[in-house]
Amino acid sequence: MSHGHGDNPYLGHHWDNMEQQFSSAKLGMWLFMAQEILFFSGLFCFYAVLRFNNPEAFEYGHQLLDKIMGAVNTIVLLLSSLTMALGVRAAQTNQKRATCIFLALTFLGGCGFMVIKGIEYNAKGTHGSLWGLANFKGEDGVQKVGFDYGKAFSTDLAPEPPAERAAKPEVASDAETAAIEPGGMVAEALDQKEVRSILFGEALPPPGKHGGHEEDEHAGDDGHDHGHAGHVEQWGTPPPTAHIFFSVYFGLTALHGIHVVVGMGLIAWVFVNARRGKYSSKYFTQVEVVGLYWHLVDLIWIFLFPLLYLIS
Amino acid sequence: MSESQTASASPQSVKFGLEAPNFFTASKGLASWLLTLDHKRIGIMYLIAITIAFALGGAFALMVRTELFFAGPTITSDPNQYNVWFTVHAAMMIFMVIIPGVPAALGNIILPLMLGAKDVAFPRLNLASFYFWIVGSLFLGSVLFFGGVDTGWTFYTPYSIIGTGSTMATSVYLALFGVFILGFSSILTGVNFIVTIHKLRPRVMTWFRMPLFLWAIYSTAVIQVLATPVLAITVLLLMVENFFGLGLFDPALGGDPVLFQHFFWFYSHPAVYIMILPAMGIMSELISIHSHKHVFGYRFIAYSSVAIAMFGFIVWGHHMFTSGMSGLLNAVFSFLTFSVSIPSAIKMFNWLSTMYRGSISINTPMLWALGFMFNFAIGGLTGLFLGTLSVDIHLHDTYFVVAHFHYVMMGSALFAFFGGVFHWWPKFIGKMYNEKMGMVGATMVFWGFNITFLPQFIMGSQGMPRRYYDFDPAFLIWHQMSTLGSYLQAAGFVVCAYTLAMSLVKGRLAPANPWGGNSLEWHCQSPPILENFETVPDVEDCYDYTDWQYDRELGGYVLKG
Amino acid sequence: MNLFNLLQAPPVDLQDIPPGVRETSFSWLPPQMTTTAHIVDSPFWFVFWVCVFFFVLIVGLMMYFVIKYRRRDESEPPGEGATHNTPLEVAWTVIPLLLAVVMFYWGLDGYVALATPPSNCYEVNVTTQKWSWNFRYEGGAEHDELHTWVGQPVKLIMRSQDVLHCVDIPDFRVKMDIVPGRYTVAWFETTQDALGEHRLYCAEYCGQDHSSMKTKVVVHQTREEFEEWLVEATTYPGPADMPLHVWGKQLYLRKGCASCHNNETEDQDGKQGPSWVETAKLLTEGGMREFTDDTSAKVDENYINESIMLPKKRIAKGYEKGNMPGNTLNSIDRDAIIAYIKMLRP
Repeated sequence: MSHGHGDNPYLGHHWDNMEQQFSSAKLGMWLFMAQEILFFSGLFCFYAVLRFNNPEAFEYGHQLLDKIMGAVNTIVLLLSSLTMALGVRAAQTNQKRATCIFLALTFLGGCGFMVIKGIEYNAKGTHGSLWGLANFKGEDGVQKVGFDYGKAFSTDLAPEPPAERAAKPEVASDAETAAIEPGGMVAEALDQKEVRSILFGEALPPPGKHGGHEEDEHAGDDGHDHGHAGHVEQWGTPPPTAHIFFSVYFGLTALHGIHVVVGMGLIAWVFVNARRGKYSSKYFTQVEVVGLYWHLVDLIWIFLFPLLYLIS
Repeated sequence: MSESQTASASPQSVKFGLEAPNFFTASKGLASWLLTLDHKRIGIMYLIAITIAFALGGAFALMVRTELFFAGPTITSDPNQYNVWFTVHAAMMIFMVIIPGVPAALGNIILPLMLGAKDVAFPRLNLASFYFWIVGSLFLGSVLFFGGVDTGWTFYTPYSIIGTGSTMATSVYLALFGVFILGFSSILTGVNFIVTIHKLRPRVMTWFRMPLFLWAIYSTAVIQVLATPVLAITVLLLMVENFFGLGLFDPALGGDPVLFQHFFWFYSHPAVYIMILPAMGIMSELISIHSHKHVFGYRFIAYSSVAIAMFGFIVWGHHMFTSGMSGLLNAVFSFLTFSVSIPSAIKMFNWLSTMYRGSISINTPMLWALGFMFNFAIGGLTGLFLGTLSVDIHLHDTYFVVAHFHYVMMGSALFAFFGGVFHWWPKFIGKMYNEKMGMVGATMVFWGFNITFLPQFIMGSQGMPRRYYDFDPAFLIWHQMSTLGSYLQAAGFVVCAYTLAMSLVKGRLAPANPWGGNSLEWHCQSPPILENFETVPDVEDCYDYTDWQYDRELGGYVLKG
Repeated sequence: MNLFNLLQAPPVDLQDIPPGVRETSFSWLPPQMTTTAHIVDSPFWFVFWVCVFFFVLIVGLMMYFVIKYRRRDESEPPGEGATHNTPLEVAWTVIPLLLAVVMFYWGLDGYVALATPPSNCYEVNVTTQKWSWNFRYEGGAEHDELHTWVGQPVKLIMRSQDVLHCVDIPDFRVKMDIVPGRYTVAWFETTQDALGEHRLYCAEYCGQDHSSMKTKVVVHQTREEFEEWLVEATTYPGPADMPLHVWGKQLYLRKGCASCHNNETEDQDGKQGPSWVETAKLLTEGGMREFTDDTSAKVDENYINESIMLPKKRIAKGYEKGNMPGNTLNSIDRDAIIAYIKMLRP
């Protein structure tokens, strides 16, 4: 019974016929995609919760993303999905040459997507709009907001305007600690109320004054300040939690990017097989399954694009 | 029932298992095992690997219990050591032993046999899952060379944020990565089993003629596929959080530590059902076959498996009643938690009714099954205390919880696992074990287990918090009982291991059907040939035992006529 | 029991045994010491007896069947009987469901009461850090024990400086996680029985000294007694009224320094940070301290000042495990700490 269908070398010994094998492979792939969707759903939930908790970060952050690039990428990926579908169709209809061409085009689409993504990442890198508190510098490259728990009580968290400062003798008397950090990091003693305001994000000093103060402190330190006023005008001042948006942005797009790379690897693999003439109307499971995966990658991007780039 | 086809299997091969060609003799050499695509060999490799992990995890449990024999320092004066022990014990037992134990190890061996299939749907993927397990376990195990991991198996933030809490940076990364990989092993196994059950059932086996073990495995696989990815993304993000300082979970960076708990338990509560559901499936088989009576209420048991799988997804919040979550959410989760208790109750009563007017054999698998009934009664019922909101306020994070989940995970899931191993051992090894020794082992583990964990309910009610290196001397007596019980358990497991090992050496050859079961795996020879069946018999009702009769000479059951 | 007594560790100081579990007679739950304890205990006992009933039913039937229907010979025919009975199965679906609804409602009802502090609470701000408690009373006095008086509703407003902690007072049936980055709240109202001392644990795993992160709750008879204690224990003259090093010692005890720094001998004594005696020695002898980044610095006033303000800037070699939080000391307090350290010179 097991080898009653020996006419097709691709039939596994435990299947009754090709049809059963093909439908099983497809069911398996759908299940795998279900888990992929769940995997990204987890990320989308993070997105939702963090956006709900930090609306201003998302409001601010999304302006810094390049919508044109995002849109171009969306089109590139959609087109590659189309060529993938055509490739599967070609494999089913015994068109070896067409299969190879379409698979190659799809692969190029993936490349194009990654290159554009790379340009975007690079731009973010040079502007200092990176993930996490330590890396996020705002568009002018000067780190000016946020706090690190371990240092929450000691670093220059939320410097007060000089006038208020002078009014507080306790803080002013701390000049000795300034010597510890020649880089301008003034260690300050904060009273409980200030600490709470830091820990719980309540009533931080107005960001406008805040930026101005930075400029005083760092004047001449580096060249970043030149564009600062312009950036603030264009996008407003970064809220204290702006880095969270970029954490989410990089987290989501990087994981999606990894999936694109894996997909490209798979496409390369079926391309090689296709060139060897492995696929025909009798056996095209691998092309079909890889195609499903590629559509999924595309679909996830369709969700990511509006969620990250097109927030209103 | 058409049994005529079975006759085509040669009587010799049924009678003298090991002498006939079988999957052990099909090919030889180490490579034929390590690269095998045969589900039975992969299952046996899982069993061996899991046994090693179980021994290691058990050793850590004994160290934890020994440390608690006296208040204050007993075998270590460094609380960090103790913290490492209980973390490693839990992480190994959960991720490396119980979660893959029944589905991956026993499921691999038994599922295709029960289906009358030649193999699982994707044999290569199956082997890949096994190696994912190996790689994940190596990562998780390698923490021992870096001082161990001390975050607790739950990896709660911000303790798992390096610097804020734990200082064992390397180990935390290794452990998280290990869990990530082990998760993929679990997901791929789940995908494989779902497809296998959908596509490889014989024509005569409709959904409602499947053995209940398959229903349980199927429900489990659904949870594995749908819940594990969420764990994967959570531990991945925790790693990235640690590495890049994203600020998702770390309150110091504007993140939310309770968010981590939600995501963690969204997987880890269903994971409890990954552990217990297949165990319940084994129970349905064991109780029916060893009571020699048709299982009672097949459909209710099958539906309750599916119900547990579904409800299991929406009750995770009951781990967080004191986390500062909103009162409304607490109420909703409490209600849902009670609803998940009902399907478990249904199963218990159905098993009891199966035993009613049966013809109950007392042998090793049945002892494990009875132990399961006893322990699961306690484990399940004590869950009611913890589901009741106000009572949970008092019991949360005490030894009461520790005892409760050990009754479910060990007293139930592992008891069923061992019951299953002893039940199917003659089938896949082809040798009988010493019944008396097996029963002694099972009894020792049962008493040891109960002596270990019953006192913990009392301690917990009196307010002994969990994960304590040191404790109030008032609890001393209960801790000492508990520790002595754990030694008895360990001795019991040694007896069990010895029994099984001796069967390999001295055991008599197993007949095809030593217990009188009627599901498909008892229709093929012991141990099965490489492709399991020469012809697959048409069995319409796998719980109808009337066609089998005992053959004294053979020491097993043969078909009448 | 004798066996266990033989095995016991050296005799225990009765003072160490907390009240509530000190009674020799066995009690399943700790004594009820608050007006809300019965809210936990009544459903507990309801669930308990339901469980006992079902446990006896299940295990009793199981044992009975095993004996009554045991297989005497392998040649016996399989058991016969119905393969299902829908009304019966529906019955054992619905009955547990009803019981579960009762338990749910009872638990929820109590929970609402437990989660809703009355408006006339005396408020105590609780700050936790690894591995110490700090209670800040109305008026700003701080202490590491929780004091209250009989019949007064008390509300704990809690926050954590580092990782998750959890306040757990078994006698009061109080338990609530303390989450960094947000406030959580717990409350209780003691009864007359509560007069005296009670255990207070940290119930959420928080690392090395999790199991020693406990303190006591002391319930006074009257508000006057409480206030008397408060004045005596927590009101201390300011730094201006005493020698600097004395003030420094006060800070050492009250600000949590003591949980990580030894002040008696030169070794760490199981604590995570450098001993202050050792530091004092280096300070007075002009010794050097080596850091994990292979730099070193002379131990002087500036170094100590920096260690207080920027504890993570440079980690002393051998103390990688230490994880000192930032703190709120002003310059006078830092002077006092330095003065105190100097006093510790061996």
